[in-house]
Amino acid sequence: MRLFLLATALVSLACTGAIGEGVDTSGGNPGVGGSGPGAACTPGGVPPAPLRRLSHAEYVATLNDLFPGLQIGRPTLVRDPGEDGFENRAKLLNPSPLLVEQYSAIAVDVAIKAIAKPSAILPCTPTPATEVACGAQFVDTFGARVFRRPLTVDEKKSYTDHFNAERAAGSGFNGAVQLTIENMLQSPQFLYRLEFGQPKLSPYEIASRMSYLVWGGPPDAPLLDRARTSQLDLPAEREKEARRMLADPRARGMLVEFHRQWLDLDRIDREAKDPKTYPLYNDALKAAMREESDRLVAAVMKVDGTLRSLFTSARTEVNAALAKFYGAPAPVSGWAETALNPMERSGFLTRPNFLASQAHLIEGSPPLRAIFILERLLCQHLPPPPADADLSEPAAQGGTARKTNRQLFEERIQPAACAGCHALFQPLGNAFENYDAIGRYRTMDNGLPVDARAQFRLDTTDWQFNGAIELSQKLGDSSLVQSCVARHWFEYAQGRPEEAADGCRIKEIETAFAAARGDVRELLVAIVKGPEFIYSSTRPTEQGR
Amino acid sequence: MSQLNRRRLLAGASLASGSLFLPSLLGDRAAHAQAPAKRLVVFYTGHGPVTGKWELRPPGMPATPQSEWELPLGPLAATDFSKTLQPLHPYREDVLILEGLALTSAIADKQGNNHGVATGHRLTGAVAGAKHVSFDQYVADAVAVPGRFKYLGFTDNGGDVNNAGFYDTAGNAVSLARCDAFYGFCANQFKRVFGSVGTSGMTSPAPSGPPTGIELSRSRRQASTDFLRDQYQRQFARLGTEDRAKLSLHRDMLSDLGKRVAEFAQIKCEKPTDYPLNGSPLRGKEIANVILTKMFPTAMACDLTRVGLFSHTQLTAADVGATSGLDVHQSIAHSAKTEPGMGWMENYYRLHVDQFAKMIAAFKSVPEGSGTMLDNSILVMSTELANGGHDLYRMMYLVAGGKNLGLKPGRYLKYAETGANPYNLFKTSPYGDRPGGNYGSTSFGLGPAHNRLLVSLMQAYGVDRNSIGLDAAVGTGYLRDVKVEMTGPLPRLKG
Repeated sequence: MRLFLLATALVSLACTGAIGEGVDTSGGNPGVGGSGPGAACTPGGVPPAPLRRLSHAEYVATLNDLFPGLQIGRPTLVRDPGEDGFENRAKLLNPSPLLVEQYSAIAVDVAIKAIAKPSAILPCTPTPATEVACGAQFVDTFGARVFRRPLTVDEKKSYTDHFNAERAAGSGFNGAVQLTIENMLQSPQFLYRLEFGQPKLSPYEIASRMSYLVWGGPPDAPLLDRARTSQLDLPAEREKEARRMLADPRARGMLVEFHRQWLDLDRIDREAKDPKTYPLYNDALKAAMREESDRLVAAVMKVDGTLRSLFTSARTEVNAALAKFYGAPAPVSGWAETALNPMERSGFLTRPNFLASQAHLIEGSPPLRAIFILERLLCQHLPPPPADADLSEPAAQGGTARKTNRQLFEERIQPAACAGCHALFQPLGNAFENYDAIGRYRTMDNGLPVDARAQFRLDTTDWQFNGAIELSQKLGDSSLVQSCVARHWFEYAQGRPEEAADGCRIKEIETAFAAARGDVRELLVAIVKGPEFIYSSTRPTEQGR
Repeated sequence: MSQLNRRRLLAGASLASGSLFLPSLLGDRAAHAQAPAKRLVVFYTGHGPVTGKWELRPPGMPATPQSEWELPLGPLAATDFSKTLQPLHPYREDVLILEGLALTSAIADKQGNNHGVATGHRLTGAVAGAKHVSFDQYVADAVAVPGRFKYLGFTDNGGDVNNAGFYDTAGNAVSLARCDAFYGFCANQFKRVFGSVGTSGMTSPAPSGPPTGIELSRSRRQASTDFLRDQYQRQFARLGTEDRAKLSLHRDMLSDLGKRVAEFAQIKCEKPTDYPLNGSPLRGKEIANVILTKMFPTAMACDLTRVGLFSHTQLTAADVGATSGLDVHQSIAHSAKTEPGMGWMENYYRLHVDQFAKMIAAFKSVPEGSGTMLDNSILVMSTELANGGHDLYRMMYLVAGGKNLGLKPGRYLKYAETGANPYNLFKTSPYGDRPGGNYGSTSFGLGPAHNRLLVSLMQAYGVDRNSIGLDAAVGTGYLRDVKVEMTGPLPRLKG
């Protein structure tokens, strides 16, 4: 998203005129391989694909896939840096001494647990006479699952030799199995997504790209089988596999994970509220608000997968705490689906996770809510606020000085140093004035009627809306949002920011996304089908040290 | 392992240096072991103290920002200390209290919120955005021993990161370990650091066969490390330069880990046997207490590392006596010019100074040579900002120990604030915001750049550098047209 955001930031830095004015969002910037509007997207134009370490979510999913019986929970892993909210940027996923230590500790722990039940991982039953053969068979079969492809002849030999050396050195057969698992789980083939195919990826590399995009985890046996027969070179075959994978429950897990990062769903975990104003807001309610978002995304992806539904659905799932919050009937137990008042609730932006996350201790924050939409949904970047900007929440007063939250914020931004930017984006946040700092619906604020009417301009877009319901409808139908989401997904799939040479490819998936009326699942199919998906750029190689 | 008393162990004639190796293991580290190990701990805290309230203003000393003076702390009574600094009184002969330094490089680099630039510049004196090296990493290069942790970095629950925002001298991001419920509590960090210490010879083969489980893993660590090194190496020929560098880094880190596990097994020292609050969630201030008073002193007494960093993000409202749940940043730090915010922020920094004082006590309790481990260590407390109002001048720095590293503690050093002042030079900001300054900043200049303190600290460990980060504060920010001296050591630290 580099070009798009940089260009926009330059315009908005001064915050004069409208945000986004003059920005070329056509994606037609000619890059390597010539990718202007209408130009064919040639494989030679694929920018370099940096080596990707498994993200923490991918790492956990992969471990769980390898050891389904162990129920590996959330392991101790130092948090990775993110960019634009996303945690899978290859250039940022570097090793560190601490992470290498943690990988090692987890590998040892998992291996010890796994060897406690050898039959679950061994393809054979060793006897003194068959230990060598059984060890080789274990290396071959288990290694193929860990490396997500068959082992090369060299790999097979080196791991088998090491296995036999350990067995002979006194570790015993089971000890050699344990040590082999430890080593495989710390190997580059497991922790990194090595792609050596140039310019076209190997079939197994394509399979891994597909599985980590669609499932956030490793390929399964049918996908590896497709790879073995080299069918994944064909767009139609990739499409077929992608549709099969999207129908699998694992896809919903990945879709939820993408939305967790994109929509900053974890932010609410860190949000405190004034206990006097919000005695209802406790850890149980907060956890329910957090989980509701995952359930909303999963439900939308199960039904029609569209952005429109994400931003307009009045259906939700509640537990007892959330039912009380919404004033809905409490489920008999656990979670149950319910319909919310469509005049009050319309999709993600009218749910308490977003509303409480982008708020202060006592009141909602029109600037925070607006900036979220601007950056996450419209792919616009703002300059940081001035150093001495007053970022505290304005204090409401009673009596004759009584004002609404909106009025207080509008007073706050009156100085020219503030108004230049805020006047352009804050209208988006004003649409949410019907919701307090934990997302409760209201029509009165501080004894005065809520005014949630606003107008927002961006490029040729000129939106007038009264409240978050109308704004959500506009966002759900917006080609700007669709374009932004397509870019996010493209970058997520590639594990890197957009580059100039990606222009025409992004245009292609934007077109496919629009044709599918904003169905995210179809967007994923379009990404997987695209020619760039199976190509890696030509990169310089040097003699290894 | 017999439970030797640490004092007795450390006082042993052959181990008086504090290097707690068995004689048979001195080997190639004999040179290191002959001289006392030099240690460094940096305690980095969020926000800042209350300007005008934390400073010492004893009768007879000029109170103007322009003045420069020195005050021996020994004769002072506890009541002579400010509320913020009072916890240091018992250790007044062990500390240098510095007033008047400015985070000049951050001012020069002024781009947006001061929290951002201060965080970037705090340990580096460098422009944010580049791969800047923190001063403690230069020190780590100078004092680290192979087979030990080059540094140990921790943070509370606000900030675990694989990239703390600064880098080591090889260009690798510095990572800080979290110590909270999500990441395994402090107990896991203690296990990580001390778990393999002294394990050699403690395990015996199971009656029925070879070692198993974790014992097998430890006993075969070297063979596994060699094997894995080879696996990484095999990929290099087919990788591009950047990708190869990434795997090469991973390979080297695996090697370091393997060496460390093997070597730690041979170390004999009194390690903690009851990990703090095993399995219990710790809050931010408790995490800091555990790391500063248990982890660092013990790990350094055992010579498991010589450089430590603890970065504290933010205390809670309850910690400082404010209404629980109150937004510390917006409603407390930003409100510190008047009560009740001022009192809360005084509490905030008194608590951090108390933590620092307790760390001093812990280092001082370890006998070493004819003195204590504190003499061979420098403990630094560095605040993020000068105050809750985001100022970057008249910072508070506390430096403890270092008697054998050339420092002369026991003094309060007031530096003259007479340098170029951006708040005077630019009546209107280049960014459209107010030039700012919350405490009469237009009436005086800037004190010495904090870079020079970092230079002094590096030089105390023999680092051959005369500057760090920006050589001169000719930045893109407020100081864009002004030259300020940023090189050379900070005067007067040695007495």
